[in-house]
Parts: sequence; structure tokens; C-alpha cells
Amino acid sequence: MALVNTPTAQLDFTWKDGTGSTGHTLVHIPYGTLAAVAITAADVISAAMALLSDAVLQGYSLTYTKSETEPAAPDASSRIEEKGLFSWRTSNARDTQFTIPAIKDTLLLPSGKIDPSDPLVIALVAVVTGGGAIFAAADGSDITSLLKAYQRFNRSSRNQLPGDR
Amino acid sequence: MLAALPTLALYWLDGSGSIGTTRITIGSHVPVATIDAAAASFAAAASALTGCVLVRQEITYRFVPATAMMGEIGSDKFNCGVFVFDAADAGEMGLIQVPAFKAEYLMSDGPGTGVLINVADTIVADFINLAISGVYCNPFAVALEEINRAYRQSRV
Repeated sequence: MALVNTPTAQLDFTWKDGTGSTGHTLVHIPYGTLAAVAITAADVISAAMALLSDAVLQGYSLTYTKSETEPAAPDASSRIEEKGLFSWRTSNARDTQFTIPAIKDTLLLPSGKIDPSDPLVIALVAVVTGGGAIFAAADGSDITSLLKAYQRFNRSSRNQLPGDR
Repeated sequence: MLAALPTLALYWLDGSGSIGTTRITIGSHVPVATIDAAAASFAAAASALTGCVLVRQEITYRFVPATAMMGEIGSDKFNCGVFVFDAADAGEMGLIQVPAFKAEYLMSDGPGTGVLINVADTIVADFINLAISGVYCNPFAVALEEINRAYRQSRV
């Protein structure tokens, strides 16, 4: 079991036409292409495409994807709607957050708070805030410490309801 | 183009078959290999906290123009210029479509009038030569080698 990269990275160019509708152009590049090289290539080809189109380029994304080739079976009772929400303090005194779906009940205190003294939680905090960590808030400020962490439920979508209900 | 910070997205599969996502921002424009290494550490730590299994990872760099603009009045995203390429391996092909393709680059005479793209036009030829000579490839990482055909198509 391992994360294996797709053969290519994907450039997704977004265009807006005269009606305000959005169209896309997908261009593939070999996965091993360095991001800096890919970005240069994106700029070049987008300029060439812009000469051929009456739409206007709204931007583009460069995505490198890996997929698990042989995923293990998840816990049968796990549900993504039951999230662990982790809120973090940033270096500019703001906060940022992310969620981990199907948070394990063994990590929870009776109130629904995630136990910050749990070794597994401490390990996550170390990865996110430790020396050399590259994670940040959306404004680029470094993540410095865990602010709060707790269980939170999202509403189930129709497709997430039991199929045999 | 203005560069947004890269993002890492991890996709998790739960016991019901639903997919959930964890998204986190990367602090600076670092190489993919650097983000990938950090992602491996993060995924390992996060995997211990969830009953889901990790099934997919995406590292994304995003760019937006400094000023927002609209397309030409009358332009239509469904009106695409489709470029079909032969790839380097026999039998392999690749395709690039350009939305709202300009009519001035279509053939103006002959049986392909208004449908076939005039590949002899210098602007069109420049684009084709760029696609062939650059790092671009088909979804199976086979390099684009030669234009096979190019035509206008309504791709809804």
C-alpha cells in the first residue's frame, strides 16, 4: 500500500467568456516536472492560447496528485461527518483551522473536546508547528500552537445517508 | 500573474464510502518534493487520529491575474478550438481545447470552411509548435509530437 503519483501533473486554465461563463483548458505535463518549470511552461502556453481565444484567462492551477493503490479498509463505523476540528494560533495573532474527518472517539474527552495531552494529538501538533514545518494560514503566517480542538458534526448529505435505510 | 500559496489536500475514505477532505496551506512557494515530504509526515500523524483511510493527496499551486476581466462580447466558452495531437508513442494521442475560439483562425475557404482550424496561420502554428516542443504531454505522460487535426467544436 502506497501513495503513487499519477503519470502527469495537471495545469487547469480557467477562462471567462463574454457572458461571464467559465470554461477550462486542461494541459498535462510529466509528474516529475519541477513546479518552477511547470509554472514557466504554463505562462508560455497560456499566452499563446490567449491569442486564439476571445475569452480571458482568469488564472490557472497546477496540481500534483497521488493516489493510494491499495487502500486499507476504513473503520466500518467511521463517518466523515464526525470531524475533529483543529484551530491553531498563527504568528500574527490570528487563527486558522482544518478538520480531520471521522475523528476517533478514543481521542475525545467526555465534553467532546479532543484531549490535547493524548500522545497522538501531541504528535500531530509537533508535525504542524515543529521546527522546519512548512504549514501556514491562508495569509502565509506560520502556525505556532494549537488553540483548540474538538469534535464537530456536519450534516449528512443525502448521499451520505445509509443506503439501506 | 499573482501567486497564491500552495495548498495540500488529503482525501479520506470512511466506512460508508464517503470522502472527506483535510486542507492546509503551505507557507511559501517551495518545491513539490518539499511539500510531499511534509505531507507524508502530516498524513502519518493525521491517520492515527481518524477511522478513515487516506486515498488521495493533491498539492496545488494557484495563480490569478492581477486584474479581473471579461471576455469579448459575444464570445462563448462552448465554442472551442480542439487540437488533437499524435503523441510520441504509436497510437497515443493528446488533446488541448481552447474555449471561445476566435473565428478568424478558422478556414475561410474549401470544404472545412468555418470548421477546420487554419494550422498554417502563424499564430496557430506558433501555438502548435509550442505545444509540441514544450514539456506538455497527454494524460499518460507521453509527449505531444505532431498535430493530427484541429477543428472547431461545440463542447457543452
